Amino acid sequence: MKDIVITRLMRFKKQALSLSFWLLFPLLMTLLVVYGFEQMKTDVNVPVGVVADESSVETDGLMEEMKKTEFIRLVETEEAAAKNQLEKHQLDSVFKVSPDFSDDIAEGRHRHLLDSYHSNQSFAYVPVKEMVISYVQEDFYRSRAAKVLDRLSAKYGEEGKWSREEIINTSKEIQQEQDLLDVSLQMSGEPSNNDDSAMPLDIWAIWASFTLLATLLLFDWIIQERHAGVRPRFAFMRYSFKHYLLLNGVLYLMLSLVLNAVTMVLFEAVLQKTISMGTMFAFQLTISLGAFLLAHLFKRAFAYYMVSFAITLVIAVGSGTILPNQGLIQQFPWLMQLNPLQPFLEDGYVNLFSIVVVGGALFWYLKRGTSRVTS
Amino acid sequence: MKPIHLFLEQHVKKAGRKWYALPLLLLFPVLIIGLLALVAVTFLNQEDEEAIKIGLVDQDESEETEMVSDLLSDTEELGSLLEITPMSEEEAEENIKNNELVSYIVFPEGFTNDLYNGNATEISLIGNPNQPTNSYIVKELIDSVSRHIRAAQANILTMNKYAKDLPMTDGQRNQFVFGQFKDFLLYTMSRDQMVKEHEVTNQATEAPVYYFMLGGWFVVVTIWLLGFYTFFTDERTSGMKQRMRLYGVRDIQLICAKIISTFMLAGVFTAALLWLFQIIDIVELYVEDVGRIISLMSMYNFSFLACLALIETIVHAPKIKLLVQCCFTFIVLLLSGAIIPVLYYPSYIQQLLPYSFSTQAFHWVKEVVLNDRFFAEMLPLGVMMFVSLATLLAVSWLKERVRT
Repeated sequence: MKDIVITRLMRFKKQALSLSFWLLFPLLMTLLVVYGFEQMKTDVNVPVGVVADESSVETDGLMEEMKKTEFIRLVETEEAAAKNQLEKHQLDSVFKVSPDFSDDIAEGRHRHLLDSYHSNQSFAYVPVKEMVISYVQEDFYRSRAAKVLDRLSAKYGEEGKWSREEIINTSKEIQQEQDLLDVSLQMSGEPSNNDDSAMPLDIWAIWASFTLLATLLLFDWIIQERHAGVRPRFAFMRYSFKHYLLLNGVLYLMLSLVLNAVTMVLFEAVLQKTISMGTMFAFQLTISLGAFLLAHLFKRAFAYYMVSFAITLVIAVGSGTILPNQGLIQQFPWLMQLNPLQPFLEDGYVNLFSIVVVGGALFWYLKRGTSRVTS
Repeated sequence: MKPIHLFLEQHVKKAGRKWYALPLLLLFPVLIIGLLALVAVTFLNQEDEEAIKIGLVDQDESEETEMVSDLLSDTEELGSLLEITPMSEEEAEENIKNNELVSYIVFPEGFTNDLYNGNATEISLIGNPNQPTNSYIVKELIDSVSRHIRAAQANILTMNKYAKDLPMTDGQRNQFVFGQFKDFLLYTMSRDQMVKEHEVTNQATEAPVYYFMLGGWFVVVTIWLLGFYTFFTDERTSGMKQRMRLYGVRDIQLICAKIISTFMLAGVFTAALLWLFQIIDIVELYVEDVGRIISLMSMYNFSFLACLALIETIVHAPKIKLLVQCCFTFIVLLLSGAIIPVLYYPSYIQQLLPYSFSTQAFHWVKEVVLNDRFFAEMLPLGVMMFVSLATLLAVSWLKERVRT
């Protein structure tokens, strides 16, 4: 064992850069994707057209509120131009403020304050509409509060006790001063997470996909060494070629596990994501063994790389890295049994795929050709 | 010219020898797109089929919380999506464990009192860790309801504050505030009446499904280009490279041959796929359109291949080279708008888009194919093609210089 470690370390020295790159690759890429996604999410903007024929305090206020909204890019236009741009899909949706907007709000009329236009490609229409309605609703509530109080004071014979502006300003102040009602989401059985930017991005699925790619690419040494000129010399060595490969494979597995431990600590500290050590170990063992066996099927390293990238892409899509895959899991549970990432993502240890891989490894180990040269 | 010719012949031979790899390469992007579509379709269907089940734990047990929960479960828009059942916290926990609930809402003790007195309070939503996406959907819905309650609450507090100045008894005032609370809640629930919705239909524009079909075609074509280009890439030992150099063969000749072979092979299948679309009536093409699409796609293909070759010239380690090429392809596709319409990108990315060849190509192909435009702007794409090819030639020439 010792000499194998020493010879391997001599090789590592030569490939230090490439080796450390691929070992760090899953960790760095996951962080890059997560932070890139966060950044993008805050910068995404939806072009929304607003048409206001009459300008008043209320309509100006509404426009101001919409401009302040992070994900909306407000475009003020004329009705015809707005509709034209909407048809060309240059705007996501258009909101037209009713000409009687201020009067309706002051009188407490609640129906048809806005006209909205959207097309069959308005993907962000629903959240934008919700947002706009909530702004109009705020104006409406304030105006209503003023009206109700006016009536109330009249009832007690103190007509005009407070002015409308006074009441509206008080209401705005109260709303600003106090963050009164909050909704928190926490997953059952997990510590509460006060991070507001909680997101539906499956960090472990992303990490597992990158780890799969890195592990596959790290095991390319098998192809090079199986076809290297030193093969005949194994006849005169203490180890059979099979054992040589196996021990080296264990060495690579251990290296990956060290990096996985670092990842676990780092993710827990930075992203508040935890996973059990056993699951992590089972996952790395399965994919390393899988890569080990897969590499035996190839003569040319380059073809192996191509296949590695292709396999990773398919598995990443199937595991919900790009789009959520709950539907796929529900309707094709057997498909998930073949996904090497599935036990890891569900906090388990084994599935059909791991059994197949272990079976394959046993077959590889026990099959004929125990001569020291062949494998 | 002669070496290029030789390499081309070699590529034809290779394609013949490795014919079994070609169907795999052809089917791979189709498989990916199909899998993505399957994931998306199954995901959307599952929500249609059954309502999202939510538990409601009312620890406050006041008239107000009861009203809120009644209204939550009665409203039309939420009603079809959500199924809200009142239950105790223990029951809710049990149901989450059995995966029968998506999440449950908790109104904490003293919730109403805090609302009226202006103390900060919190509605907690406990999600099912096995159904995170649905839990986030519920969070979005409850968030929007709470936004309205928040706006209403500020006004209720305002009214309460002013009403204290009037000669009312405490009982009368509480009655008055509760009445207002009810009114506001009703307004919250009928908020959709404020907007009258119109759907604008543009005859020329097809449904989103066609947009994504064309996007899928664009993605498939791009992955083919990457796949075939990699397919024609040979790993040559340094000894072999030395020998080739002695014969006066330059790297750029090899690369040119590769670009030409890839272009021809991918071009045939690209056209075949579009023709298939035409047959099954997804797109309707006129004769003049065909010319436009061929020029647009040719320029796109050459620009893209030149960039792949440029990466190959700069990066030598095969694993890193493939990684960079894959990442580059991903970025090109993301920028093209074939996956997400470019309309929604942040403005600093949109400013760069006129300089992205994939955006230009996809935009004009989309205009021609889906919007029946009889015009396509060729100049920017042509300029970008020449720039990328010229850069490739220059870098390759420089590298050759440095080595000798």
